[in-house]
Amino acid sequence: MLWLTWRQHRMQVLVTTVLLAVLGAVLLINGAGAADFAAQNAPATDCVADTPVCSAYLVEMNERIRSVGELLGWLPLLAPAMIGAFWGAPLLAREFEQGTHQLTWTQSVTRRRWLAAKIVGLGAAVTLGGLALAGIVEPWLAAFDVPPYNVDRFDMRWFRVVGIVPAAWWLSAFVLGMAAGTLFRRTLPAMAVTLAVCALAFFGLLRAPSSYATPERVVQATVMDDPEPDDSLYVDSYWIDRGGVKFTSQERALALAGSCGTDETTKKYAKCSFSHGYRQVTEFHPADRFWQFQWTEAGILLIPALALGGVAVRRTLRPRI
Amino acid sequence: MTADRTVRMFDGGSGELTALAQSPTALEAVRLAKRYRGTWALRDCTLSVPAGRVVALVGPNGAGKSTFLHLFAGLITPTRGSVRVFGEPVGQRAAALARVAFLAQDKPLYDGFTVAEMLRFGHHLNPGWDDALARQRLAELDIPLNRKIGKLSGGQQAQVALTIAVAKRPDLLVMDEPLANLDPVARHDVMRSLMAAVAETQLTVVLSSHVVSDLTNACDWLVVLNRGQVQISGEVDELLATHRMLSGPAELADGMAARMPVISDSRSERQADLLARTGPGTPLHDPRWTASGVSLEELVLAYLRRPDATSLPRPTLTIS
Repeated sequence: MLWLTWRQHRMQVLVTTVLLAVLGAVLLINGAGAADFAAQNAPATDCVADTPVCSAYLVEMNERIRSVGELLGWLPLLAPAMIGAFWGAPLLAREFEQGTHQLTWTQSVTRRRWLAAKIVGLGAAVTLGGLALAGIVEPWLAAFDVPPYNVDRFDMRWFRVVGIVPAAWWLSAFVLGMAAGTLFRRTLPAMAVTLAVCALAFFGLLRAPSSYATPERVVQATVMDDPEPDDSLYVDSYWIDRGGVKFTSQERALALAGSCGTDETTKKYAKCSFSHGYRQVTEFHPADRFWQFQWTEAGILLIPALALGGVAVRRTLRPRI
Repeated sequence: MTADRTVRMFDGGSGELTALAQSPTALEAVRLAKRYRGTWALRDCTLSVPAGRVVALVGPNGAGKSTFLHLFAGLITPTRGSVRVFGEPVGQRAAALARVAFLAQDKPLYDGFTVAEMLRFGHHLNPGWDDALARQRLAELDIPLNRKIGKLSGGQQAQVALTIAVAKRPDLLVMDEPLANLDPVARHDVMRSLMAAVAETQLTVVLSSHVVSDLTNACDWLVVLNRGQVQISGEVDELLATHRMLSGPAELADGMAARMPVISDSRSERQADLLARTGPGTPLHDPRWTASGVSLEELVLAYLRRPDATSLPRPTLTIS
């Protein structure tokens, strides 16, 4: 049975493997270059002050990570959509469309076993692909994480290309495509719907992670350089007055225009506003919530996808044409 | 309805039906019904066909032939009633699936596979696969193993599909319009190689067609489906022996028609032609009448025009 699954879907498997390999090669070259550069140019001490050495190093590292990072930024949208459309949608739709289900279902293998080989075999391959993506991105990011340059996996630029989130997206999209295939029984409509739902899910969840838990708050009454700890996920910052009433910065600026002046960039201005009873609030998720958030997003995707997949499997196993 | 309906004596019974016939029963349907979204494709079909036959399933388009065959192939389940193949219920069990091979109407194959890969498919999915038989058949047909299925002609694709069905070594081969979309030469070739396979392997075969003439030479059992019901089920020779075209004076036709079931009745001013079920050896006492044999095609056509007339076997089935 696994032979049949492989023979029917080897094109998808090979293309995905090649694309992952190409991406791996690009990241390897880029990452190795960055590691070399960092080894030679990283300032010995942390850059507290903005020295030219420091800023030159930071700018160069930023430039190097940006060039490939922009490419990676498309992956959370494109990769699941492609997996859903090319792995999932044709899986059953093509059989129905070409009538080959009538051939395969009348061999000596039960429909249940045939379907299990397809779904488990390809589902495992898709999951491995997603994990492989994270597996090649992680060391690339690590190559950039040389102080004073800091790479934060919790950053929304990287959150969906590391950990288990890519695998969850890929597997959900695959199951979605399969389910669309059993619903429409034709490849093209199934692909179109899969692409549309993947895009909707991507944009729907784009800013969702910051709401996966109640953020921690830091209320500043004195001037601090950086209220949120390293590698945490920034959520929001705003001003409150003594009574705890939330202010936008415009409202605060208007209220303080007389006493503190208008140059908000200075520390003096900040001190002045603190002395008038205003407090700055910063909301963030600490770095140790990374895995919690990864699993939350995986659950948000996989629970509905697997429920849909269950319905699709039941539909397919029910003996009707 | 006519007296013919008396053979449908199981109508009231809900018990199991068992075959009393000597040879094992290959196909058995009891009060079989299938409904699709509110319309009945098959209604109350009961029939039993002994093993080793080549069964022609004939009926107009939309009579329920495909539904009937899909039920025997286990692709769909009945809404009511039961389907058995060699006494075993049809269904999604490997052992039951292994006994029946099915050739769907469009003869689906994986277009991107080579012929050899299609054989490998058969080998992987069927424990009883006869690879030597498959290769020998394809060699005889000059079908190259390394060619893609999509590059073969329609006739060759039909032959590959038939080869896969036969090499599965089933006890029953079910074929839905196997000759449709084939040119006359391919029709002939497919039919001939099917008959060769039947002779070699003692298969029971059911094949459907809406063209009766395709099947006349090959089949020895006839099932006619009309409007979702079984109208005829019987041995071809017996059906031909028990039906006669009676020709005689029109003024005597009513008297003649009263004495036996008349299937078709065409009268001109002077002459009447009655296709009647005479029973074996019913003598014609009246010299003004002549009796002649009918062809299978005439017989089928006459029945199809009279959906209320049935010819079902004298009960080889009883309520146990």
